[in-house]
Amino acid sequence: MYTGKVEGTVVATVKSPGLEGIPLLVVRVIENGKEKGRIIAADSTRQAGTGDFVYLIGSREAGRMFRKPLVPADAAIVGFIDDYNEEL
Amino acid sequence: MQICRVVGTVVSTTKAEKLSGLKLLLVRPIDMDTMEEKGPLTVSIDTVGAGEGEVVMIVGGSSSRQTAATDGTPVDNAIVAIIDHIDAGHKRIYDKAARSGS
Repeated sequence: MYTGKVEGTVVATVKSPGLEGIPLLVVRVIENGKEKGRIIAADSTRQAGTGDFVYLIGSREAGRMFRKPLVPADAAIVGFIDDYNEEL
Repeated sequence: MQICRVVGTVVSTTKAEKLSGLKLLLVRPIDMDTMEEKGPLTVSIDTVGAGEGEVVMIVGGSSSRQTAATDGTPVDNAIVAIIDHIDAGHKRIYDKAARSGS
């Protein structure tokens, strides 16, 4: 699992049937508090919006979040982060 | 997932049996900060009828086998969407119709 910040939305009408009805969001990956690049993530919470601090699941498990067969996703938002502390 | 531009096609007559009938396209990653093509060319299996020049979304690893076309095949990279537009940072950073950011 890793963390990120939602920065936008992606619209694609022509797509794999498994992705129908699943929001696709632009997420800024954040590792150890450092901002990395942007990816596209499928939003399994269906409530995330720009500015939300979220955590994500990657690779094959991302598709499993949607409990239907054949969801070709390798990044999925699975929850929101209210606050966190680091014991460095 | 990542976005890429389709920059070419790949024709291969001698290949793994399970790859026959699948369309192989050449894609180059696009950096979603600059919207410029950056990174190595990759061969990706087209599952949505993408054409050359289009901006597409690709998925990697075993997730790329979660489509009807690639289920049970030796594939680790597939095109699963053709992007219409992307809004980020309160502006439209890509619009297929306007070809902005291309």
